[in-house]
Amino acid sequence: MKNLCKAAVFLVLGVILFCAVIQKPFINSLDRIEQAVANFYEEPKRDLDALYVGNSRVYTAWQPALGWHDYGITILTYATPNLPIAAYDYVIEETRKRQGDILFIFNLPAFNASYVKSNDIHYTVDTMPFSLKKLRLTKELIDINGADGMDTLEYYIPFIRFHSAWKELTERSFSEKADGMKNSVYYPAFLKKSTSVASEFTDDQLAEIEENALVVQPNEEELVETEVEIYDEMQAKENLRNFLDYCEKNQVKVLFINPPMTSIEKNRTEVLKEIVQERGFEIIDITDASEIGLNLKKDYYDNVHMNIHGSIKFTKYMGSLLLEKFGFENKHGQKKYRSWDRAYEKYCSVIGPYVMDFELEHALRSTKIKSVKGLTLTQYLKYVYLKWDASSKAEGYRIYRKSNRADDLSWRCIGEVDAETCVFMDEDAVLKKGKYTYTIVPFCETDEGRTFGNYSTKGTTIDIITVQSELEKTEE
Amino acid sequence: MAFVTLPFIAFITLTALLYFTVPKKGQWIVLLVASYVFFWLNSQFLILALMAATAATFYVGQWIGREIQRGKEALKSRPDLTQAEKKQFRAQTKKKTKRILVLGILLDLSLLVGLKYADLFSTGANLVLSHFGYNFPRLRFLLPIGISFYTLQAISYLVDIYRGKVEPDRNLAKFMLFMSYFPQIVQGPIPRYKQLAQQLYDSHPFDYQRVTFGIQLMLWGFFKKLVIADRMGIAVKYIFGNIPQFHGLMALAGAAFYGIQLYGDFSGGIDIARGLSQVFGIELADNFKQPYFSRSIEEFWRRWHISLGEWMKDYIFYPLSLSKPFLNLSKKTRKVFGEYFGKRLPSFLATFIVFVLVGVWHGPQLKYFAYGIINGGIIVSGFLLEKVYARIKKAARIEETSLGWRVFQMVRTFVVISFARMFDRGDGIRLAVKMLTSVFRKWWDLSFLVDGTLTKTGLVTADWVLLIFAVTLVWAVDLLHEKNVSIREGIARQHIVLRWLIYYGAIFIILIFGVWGPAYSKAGFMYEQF
Repeated sequence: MKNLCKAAVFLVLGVILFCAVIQKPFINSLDRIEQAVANFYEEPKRDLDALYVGNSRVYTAWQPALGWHDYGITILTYATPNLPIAAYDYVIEETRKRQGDILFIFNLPAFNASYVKSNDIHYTVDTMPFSLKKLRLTKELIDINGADGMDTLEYYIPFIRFHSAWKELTERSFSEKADGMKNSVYYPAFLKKSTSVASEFTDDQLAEIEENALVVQPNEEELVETEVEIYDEMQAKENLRNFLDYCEKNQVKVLFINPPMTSIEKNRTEVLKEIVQERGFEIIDITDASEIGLNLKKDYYDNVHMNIHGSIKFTKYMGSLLLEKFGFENKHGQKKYRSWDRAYEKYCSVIGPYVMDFELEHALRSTKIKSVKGLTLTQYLKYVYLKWDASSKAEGYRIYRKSNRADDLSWRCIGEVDAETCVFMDEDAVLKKGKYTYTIVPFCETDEGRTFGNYSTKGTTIDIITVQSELEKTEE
Repeated sequence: MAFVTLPFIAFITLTALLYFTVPKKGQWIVLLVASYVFFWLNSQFLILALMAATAATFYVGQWIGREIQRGKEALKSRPDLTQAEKKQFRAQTKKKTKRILVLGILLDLSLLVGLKYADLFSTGANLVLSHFGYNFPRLRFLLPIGISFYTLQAISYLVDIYRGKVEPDRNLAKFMLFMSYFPQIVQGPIPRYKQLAQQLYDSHPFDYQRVTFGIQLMLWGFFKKLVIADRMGIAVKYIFGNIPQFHGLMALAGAAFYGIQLYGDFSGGIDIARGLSQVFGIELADNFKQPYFSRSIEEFWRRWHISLGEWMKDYIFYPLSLSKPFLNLSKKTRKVFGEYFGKRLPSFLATFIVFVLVGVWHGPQLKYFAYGIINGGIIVSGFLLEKVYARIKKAARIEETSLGWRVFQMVRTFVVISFARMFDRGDGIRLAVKMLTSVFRKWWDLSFLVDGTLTKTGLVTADWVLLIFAVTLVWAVDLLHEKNVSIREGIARQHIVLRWLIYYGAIFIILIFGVWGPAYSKAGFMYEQF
């Protein structure tokens, strides 16, 4: 009997150890998806204006931290690569428990996906906290997927699939905390295919950035093809009708969005749009990308997903629209929302290397002001001396700097001079050995405000030797 | 339902629970039912082959037993017979029982040969008959799991009855368990009736330490199979599938990796079988005795797949060596080659035949035949050149017992075995020869160690680092076993906290680092196919 008790204790302890310690880092290795859920649960209670729910097209479009910075609104995303429709009611109920009766935003084309792939189940349920409802949802998704027998076990014990990811575990996999970015995204494809300066970074630096986003992206072309193959209009309509029934029954505040999409999708979504309108639900139609200044070539990293530039434009446009439509309170300066300020700071630091200067992305721009030429850099002991040729129409210049040091990867404005002064002495903290890159941004003042001209995103680089050794040489 | 799958774990857990909860007299029934369920799940209707072999062996065994008994009784009832008459009577009885034995062996072999070698025979027949304008249909059958193992098991049972070493089993149901006992049916070890049967039929109370020891051995088996063999198997598959890409030491390394994979796979499987049996209170014979510590090929074969080696020795080598033709041959060779060689030549021939049979037993392919010939050839040539080696060693003043020499011998044995295994693993003799010759092409080129060749074999650096640690651990454990240190007893002496930490550590290491689950393709045991 004593031995039986011992065996039972061993077993129970083992199960606890497994669930609480061993399995967790492997689920965390889902990284972005894990973060999407972790950020959702870390959000203080009753501080959201809305939740934007959906698939990869949601998190590559809406940047919550930027929405906060620009409009003082708190709209978080809850999105996984292909969040099944069947999971929507789960998300709504979880949200209502924590955030109250807030607005839920859904992309209408998402209802076209009537299938649930194996990975979709993992992405959806693996990171959800344990509950009976989660088990029921898992079962429902498995039924839609069609898996049976032993093949279903991996959805209840995700370790079965993900244990082989031990090679990809990082320090962050063992961290319980969310990244605090409020689901503003920064994964490689999203960043790399932007008109970025990423190519200038060393492999180590890129690896460091990529390490923060290890999930391998699905091949979107394949995804689109698969969608075409298994698109089921009847099922899509039924899914939407069921969901609308649910929303009506539970008095859920819903807003549907028709984002910019491909022509095939437009045709399909038209049918769904009619249903939504018939039932009297609100829908914002922004299928015309040019309406919000989106350039399909420059602002997307594939045929359906926006890149960092597109997401900034989308967030700016949508934020203003939502503010106008729903009259959300601007909560800037309120103590309760400090975490949103911090999220924005983090967001800027991460995307900094990818957009020349975050500030400039929002500023007025004119291609008539030509970029400066002939930038030369010279080291004078502790300082770097910059000299360049004047640019026509420029009324002043901003000097930007970045380095290859981990804490200084993004462009930072270090000074401003007038049009006559085409030189600058960087006296600021050039103390450590490394590569420092500078670029000069010309600007002029117009009636509309300060307008920035062209500039070199690549910049000019100087190798700084240690100041100490240089000083010693001088003394000798 | 392979050994290293979750359903198997569930299956053995359920079996063990039943085994220890039913009345002790019924324990063997639980094992019998579990064995037949296991066999059915793996081979479905091919279970009929096992049942046929079991029935044939059981009744032929009884027949032999009856004849022996009848002969004894008849002899007892005739005290008037002279010694010469008694001898003649015994010879008559023996002749009769021998005929029955041969019948039994043929029945058992017919199932094995019919199912396993039919393809070879039909292809051969077709090759010949096609010259005369006839076509012989190609015969290919699915193989029931473990057929090569239980056939040898059945033959040894019949021969042992004939030799008077064991009494024939009287209970068909119990004998069915002996023939189908599921932990060993997949890949051995090949048991002897005397050693296993009674253990299976006896009752075994729950013994905490024995059960934990059994589970530990199973865990060790899982570690060797899942962490080492199945991971190494990825690289081996790539290397053997792309032989032209490799040369020099990298080609030899490929064969060495296969050696590591095979050891992890086979000995891992045996450890699982032995560990599981220990849980049930049944001791299976060990099938490996640190084979890579062998200093010669001959020693290697005494340490590798021991139960097959012992079987071959008892049922092929000795009967052959002591047969009349061989004794006559011995007389003749002594006259021609003198006492030293003449005396040994017949046993060399028997050894050679044994290895050819070992090769053929592995499968109906020429590569296995070649594998057997190579191993037999190496051993026989070793014997033949024994005196020459002794002279060389003496001239070179080599100290037989020195560590350096022993290590050299071990490495040499491993390298020779690796060369031979190119035929075992290679996809046909031609490719094996190609691989063998490629070892001598740019043999000095060690760039594969640093130029990323290893990480293009399907394994990344982390896998190789893990493999280095895991193989070192297995080597260290083997070294301790070589020195007769019992690790499990050592663990049992530790404080419960440390002990449990070791158990949890072992379980989680296997779960995390093992190659299993849907992210990988499932790999069965390599010896299942034999």
